[in-house]
Amino acid sequence: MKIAIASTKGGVGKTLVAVNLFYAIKDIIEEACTLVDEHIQVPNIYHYIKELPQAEEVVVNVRIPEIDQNACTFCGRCVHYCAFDSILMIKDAGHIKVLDDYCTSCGACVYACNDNAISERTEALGKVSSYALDKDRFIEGRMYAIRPLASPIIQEVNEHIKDDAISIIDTPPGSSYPFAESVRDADFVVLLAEQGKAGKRNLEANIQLLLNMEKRFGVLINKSGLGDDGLFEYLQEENILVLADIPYNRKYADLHSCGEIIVQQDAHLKQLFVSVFDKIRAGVKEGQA
Amino acid sequence: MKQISIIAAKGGVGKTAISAAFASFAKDLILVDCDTESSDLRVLLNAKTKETTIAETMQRVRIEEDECIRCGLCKAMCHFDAIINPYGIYQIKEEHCQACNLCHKACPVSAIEYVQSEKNIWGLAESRYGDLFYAQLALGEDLNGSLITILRERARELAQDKKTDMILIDGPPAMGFAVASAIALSSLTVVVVEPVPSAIHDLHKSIQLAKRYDVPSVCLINKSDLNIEMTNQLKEYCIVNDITVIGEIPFDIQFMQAQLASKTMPDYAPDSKSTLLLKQSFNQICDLN
Repeated sequence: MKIAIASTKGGVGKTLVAVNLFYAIKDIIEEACTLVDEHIQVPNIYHYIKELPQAEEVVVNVRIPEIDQNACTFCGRCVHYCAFDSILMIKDAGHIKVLDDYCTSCGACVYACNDNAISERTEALGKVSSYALDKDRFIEGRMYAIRPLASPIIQEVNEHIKDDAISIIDTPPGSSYPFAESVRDADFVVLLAEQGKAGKRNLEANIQLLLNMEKRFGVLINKSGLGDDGLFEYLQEENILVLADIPYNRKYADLHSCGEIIVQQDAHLKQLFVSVFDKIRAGVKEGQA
Repeated sequence: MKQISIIAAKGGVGKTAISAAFASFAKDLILVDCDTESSDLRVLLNAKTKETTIAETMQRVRIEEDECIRCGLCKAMCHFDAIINPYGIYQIKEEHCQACNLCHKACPVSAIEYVQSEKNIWGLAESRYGDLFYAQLALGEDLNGSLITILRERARELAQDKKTDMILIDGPPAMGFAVASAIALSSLTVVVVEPVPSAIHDLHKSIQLAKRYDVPSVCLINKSDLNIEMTNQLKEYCIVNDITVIGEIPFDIQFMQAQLASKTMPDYAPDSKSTLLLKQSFNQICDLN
């Protein structure tokens, strides 16, 4: 059962929920549980796990083209084939090069070249680390450099967890490729929301995304109690499953900021996450029936 | 003309709240909301849309079943495993497709069409502090930041026409290619950070990115008292790396309350300590530039 913790807006508490949900349930369920950090550009869950064991690592490579200036006839076919403007050619100066930053490793230039002037070198795009935590696991995807290409790493993470009994995935924000890739395989999506006008607008857009993807989901409202009840009324009217609301509490912000796991110090929040998990499980069962 | 961008590797640190406050201090400027998934700055400033345009940034490929001769060349050459052939019929797996266009160009019978996606839009809205550019991105589209480049270029054109002194860019979340597009050509980027366990790493990544694009950066520490030890480490990092800290704002629940009321901090709490600190930070930016 894959549970994705998602919100296209950043900072609504995805990491807090992923980490605390994991720690709230891992010792009370029999199955092995995997905590997954797919926020590959800036993974941060590892800060919350005390005494990380040695990782098993898999490097994710991409192919980056290299142009041999001596073999190149400056015909310009590669420039024409590149859909990302990532080949810089100054014919008069006899200069041509690949702008690595913009390259998506699609191979179009290699195919285009009739002079065998373009070869490909292998470069590490990132890595996937796997850590054993007794019966459970923690898996992290990490991208080394900023490239317009994130999916190979997330695909590798998904490959790692495809047979796991239960996995809790902290997804990247935004609705572009990484988000879509992270949420695609999920059996259930925990959609995070905040009160207020912008919060409600975000939630509506996110719900539409998940409906289009035909995903099973429930909404978890974070930092509640500061705004009006508009969000709750909307969710009730639309008949959307509300998993829980986490009341605003300065103590939670302090603990989370200091790298602490809140459910290990707050029995009430632990109980809340256990009940969230029960609802998720019931939701997934209902979907299978 | 000053072009100032506000970025953060972690979501929820206050980019939009800070952008809105800065906008109110500047009074006359052009705003760019680069969060193409949830344009909260537009909502927070209650900006009224004047026009919207379909962004021609994303193409899609489509295989014409009737014309396909099932040679399999496209599938063999695709670097993204984006072509599948269930039951012998070749199809594009859209979520894997990076729109590199190689299959379209290589197909021996021209059975692969390259079509413009019409799902992404960019818009111009009017706020009380000046015109605001924003965009709405469809799921899984645009990873290379070209939509943000459009916003940035339009803003620059308009600023030149109107002889506006300042462009303020509210950056997209996380650390992907969109962020690189947002900060490109800025005269200064403000890296907002909050003292969470990953803070040093988050700040370092943002600063490195700015360096790569030759953009000078300064640091603003928000919610600084959530983890005082980490805040001190952040300040140390800034001294060692010669980064100016333009402000240090303690955690203030009024930020959240202002957001819920769809108000900027200077509007919601004009005499608060946070507003004063924001104003001082803004003045520092103006002096630096």
